[in-house]
Amino acid sequence: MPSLRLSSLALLAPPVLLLGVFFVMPLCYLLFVSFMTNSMGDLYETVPTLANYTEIVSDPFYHLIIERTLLSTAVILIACFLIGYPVALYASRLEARGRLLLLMALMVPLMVSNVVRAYGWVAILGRQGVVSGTLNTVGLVDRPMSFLYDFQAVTLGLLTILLPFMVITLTNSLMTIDERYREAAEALGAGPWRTFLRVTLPMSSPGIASGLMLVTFLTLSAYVTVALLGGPRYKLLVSFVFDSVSSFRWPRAAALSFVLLILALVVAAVIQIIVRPGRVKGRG
Amino acid sequence: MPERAADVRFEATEKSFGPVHALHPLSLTIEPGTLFALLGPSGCGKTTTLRLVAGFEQPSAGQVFIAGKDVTGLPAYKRNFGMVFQSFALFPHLTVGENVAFGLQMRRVSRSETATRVQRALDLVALGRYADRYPSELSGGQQQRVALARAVVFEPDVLLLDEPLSALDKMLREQMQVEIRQLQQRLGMTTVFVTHDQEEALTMADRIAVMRDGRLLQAGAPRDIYERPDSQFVATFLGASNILTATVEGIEDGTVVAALAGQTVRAAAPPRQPERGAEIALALRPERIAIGETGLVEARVEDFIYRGATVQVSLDLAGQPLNATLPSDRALGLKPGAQVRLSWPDDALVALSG
Ligand SMILES: Nc1ncnc2c1ncn2[C@@H]1O[C@H](COP(=O)(O)OP(=O)(O)OP(=O)(O)O)[C@@H](O)[C@H]1O
Ligand SMILES: [Mg+2]
Repeated sequence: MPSLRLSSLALLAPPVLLLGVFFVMPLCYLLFVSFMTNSMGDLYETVPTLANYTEIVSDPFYHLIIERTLLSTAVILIACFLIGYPVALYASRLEARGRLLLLMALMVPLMVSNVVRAYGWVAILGRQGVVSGTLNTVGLVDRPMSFLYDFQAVTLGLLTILLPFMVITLTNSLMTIDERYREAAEALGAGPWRTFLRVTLPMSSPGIASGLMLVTFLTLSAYVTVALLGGPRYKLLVSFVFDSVSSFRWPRAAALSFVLLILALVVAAVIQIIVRPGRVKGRG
Repeated sequence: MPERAADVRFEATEKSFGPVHALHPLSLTIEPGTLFALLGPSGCGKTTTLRLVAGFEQPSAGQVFIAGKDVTGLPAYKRNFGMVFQSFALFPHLTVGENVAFGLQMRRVSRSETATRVQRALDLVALGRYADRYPSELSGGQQQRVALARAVVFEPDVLLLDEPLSALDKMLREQMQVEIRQLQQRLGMTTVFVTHDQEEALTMADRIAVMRDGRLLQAGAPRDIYERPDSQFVATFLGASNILTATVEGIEDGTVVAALAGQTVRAAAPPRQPERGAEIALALRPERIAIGETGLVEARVEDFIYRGATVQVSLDLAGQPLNATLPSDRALGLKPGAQVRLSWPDDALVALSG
């Protein structure tokens, strides 16, 4: 029916336009800039070059940073899943009021700015911080110690921000699984554990995949937390995008952004392959 | 599949949800190999009764036995039953074959035997070539058959069906009624099924238990329940029935003699014997009434409703309304206002106790 197609096109137009103007066009421009030469005075010098990419690809330092970025992402994803799933499972079985309270409690920290929260961690983990002070008082260490600026600090900081996103996404997904399916599994002789492994877990795979993707994108683009808790010693790829921008090497920053984008897509692909959300085919 | 039959027994089994008494103490034995229907209006406790057998609910008091074994307190997955849910509840992430294999895998049946038994079960429901499809790629009737195959493939002690056909349209429902009945006969499996459709219960079941407000009212073979209801509720819930008021004149070996519209009539006596002179309710099926020149009692024709093969005649029997269903050709000469005489076979009139 042509009229139907026309009206659906009309419905589609605004978001497509919005996406085109504010996402695709800037992205294309960024791609263009990433193949230009760095310039001290201008945004870039219009001399095409592959240098921005070849430098990243050939520099062992960047390899280290990429590895580090992937490692922290992987750890955050695994931790989000392992910690988030039981919480979500619990939340999904609560009655409506309890669930609302629990999810609200999880979201309250998100109402504080990331900057403030990161400083909170500094106050806990820094040289003058709570942890160091306690260890000193107890006598486990004999001088003030910083627990900042390393892998653990950054990962912990990011994890606390991202966990609620994972839990909320998973809870919603788990709640769509009708109790009948669990009863059907039980009727077929599956105990609680096997019911979980064979029915609940695979049926929640679309939720797991969306949650993990959300966390991935938020992890890879998180800057403030990484800057404040990683400091000068522990930087991730996103830190170098910022550093390049602040030293006016826009083409370099653009190239790094694309590498980051590719990393995000690769991680997303790996999530899809492992979690296989596509196996839940409608509702039986 | 070899025959396998177990009995199901309730002993003073009851269930409350807080203040709601979903099931009043129930004592009932479901004989091995029967197709047993739990019939009743919405909210009468049919599902609760079935879920007590399954172990999804535990009784507040009393016991449940399957195959002579007390299963009270045993979780569902340790009882050996197959179940078909109203919404089928086929696992959407598994293929038809994997769905059917599930129960066998849980019982650690070897891989090769699982494959043969899954194939046999799917053949049994005429879906042998659908093993690799996903449930979402099947029609409602096909999903229903997969759910059946999944429930019987591991030869459970009992098969439980909760309104298994209510999601299907009328044509398919009638076809599946026959198919389920045939499958049940072939496997000889004790089967309990829940329905609020009296026709379905009459068509399919070996025995019917009529429930109301959490209580068992009457249990028996379909013909017994239909022809000898012992309460007004059962008489009117199973098909149409006229309820007439009469006065008891006496009891003669299993028969109530009563005065109806000035005539003496005989009715099958209820379990609880009525007293002389008391008012009593009598049930009379409309299709058992004959209209003619001669007959037991006189009545006036009020109205007709033409129904194709039959005609429903509204009558007035000394102030009591009465319906008769006649074959269309027998109603040709009747006119509203005409005085006619009614007759019925001796066993058509049944005295009710409540
Ligand atoms: N989990 C529960 N919590 C509280 N009350 C319940 C619960 N399950 C059932 N009931 C109540 O118990 C009574 C019987 O319910 P049941 O589901 O057994 O009825 P049913 O005969 O299957 O009805 P329907 O034909 O509508 O399915 C109802 O009054 C119902 O509200
Ligand atoms: Mg029910």
